[in-house]
Amino acid sequence: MLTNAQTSLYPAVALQCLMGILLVIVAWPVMYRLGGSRGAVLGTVFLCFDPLVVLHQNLILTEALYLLIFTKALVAALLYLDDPSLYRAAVAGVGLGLAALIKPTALVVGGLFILISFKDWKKALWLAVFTFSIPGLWVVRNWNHTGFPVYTVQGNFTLLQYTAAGAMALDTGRQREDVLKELEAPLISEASTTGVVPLSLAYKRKAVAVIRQHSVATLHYMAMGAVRVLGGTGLEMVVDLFKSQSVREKESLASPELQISGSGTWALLKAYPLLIPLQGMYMVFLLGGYALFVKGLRDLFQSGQWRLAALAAASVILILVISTIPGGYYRLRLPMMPFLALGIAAATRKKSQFFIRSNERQLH
Amino acid sequence: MKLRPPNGILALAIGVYGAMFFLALRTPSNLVKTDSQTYLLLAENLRTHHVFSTATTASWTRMCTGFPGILST
Repeated sequence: MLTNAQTSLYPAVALQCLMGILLVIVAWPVMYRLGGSRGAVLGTVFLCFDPLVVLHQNLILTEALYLLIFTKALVAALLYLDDPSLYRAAVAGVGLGLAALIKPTALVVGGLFILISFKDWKKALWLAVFTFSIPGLWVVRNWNHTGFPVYTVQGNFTLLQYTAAGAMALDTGRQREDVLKELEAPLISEASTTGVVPLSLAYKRKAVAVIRQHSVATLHYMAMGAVRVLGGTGLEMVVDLFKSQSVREKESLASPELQISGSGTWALLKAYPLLIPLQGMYMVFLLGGYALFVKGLRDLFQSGQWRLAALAAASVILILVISTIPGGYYRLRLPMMPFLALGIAAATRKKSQFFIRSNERQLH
Repeated sequence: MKLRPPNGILALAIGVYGAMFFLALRTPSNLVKTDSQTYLLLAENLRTHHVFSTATTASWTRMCTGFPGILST
């Protein structure tokens, strides 16, 4: 029997599914320009029909909205670099700013775009003004409420709760949750007398001390997170699609592995052997995508479009590193998908049309 | 430059995302994950109390730790 609360979510789900269709329309022109018709098909299919993207489209999460806004901003920013106009700067900057309000990694990408547009300072200035306007207002809002000009303090909490506690757990052979309770206990007792920003700074100080003490385990923890981000498949979401109750909720008590490993891939494959071929096919899809992405970067470098290649490579690496802080989770791969798709589109063509206009201008 | 995706790709998108919508109708309880509950609370507080807050009592402390898109801890 459906509750009113559940049925009231349907308009949101319908809107998100519509966003999935819009993503195809938004991504296609830039993929076509970069890789011709074959490259556009490959890039668009990788970006819009990756099972992880599709599976997140009907959930009450921010992934669908983020991916659409971020891709639109990315397309506008690339076109702006190629052929600048105030309109494109506004669409790119405001889009990146909005995306940064959903996931702060978008701000890192905005910074990279500004860096590679520095050849022409006016171009960089306009992009910076539009990109930082919305996040800047958020900082002012937080300053007003807390007395500190902060963008977010979530990272400071996460650093202790995941990276530091995870590294210590690896070194001591205990559960992360137990280690975290021990680390947080003195901080929580101070929490009532201090504000959220000083508390977050205390979390950060403690996290840095733990990370210094367990530096090798921290690298180990981050490497495991990177593998989860790059290879996580979200199989429980596939099972959830056809079950009345979330498989994670239903089976996490019976199988502790589901709680420990995040995606719990092995536990799920054992419980549902029919998923094994699906998992295999997805791994081939993913590995093929990564191989094409690397080839695309090489082709872009060789055809003189090193700025675009450097932007895509740096964005993927930075997003990957940031994603490992909260322990790495397959969902955190989604922000790097547009860059992977751009590389894949470029891999099918030796000389794409991007930046050709500006290159020609320089030649003449 | 071809601005519009080919009909085949568009039809595929409509098919795939339409199917996702109908699957969501079949198992509505799975639409809400752990993070979704935080987002729904934020939305409800914004709608009824005009405050971006995860508070469930009348203090309505404004949330400054993060944005809606960050994984809840």
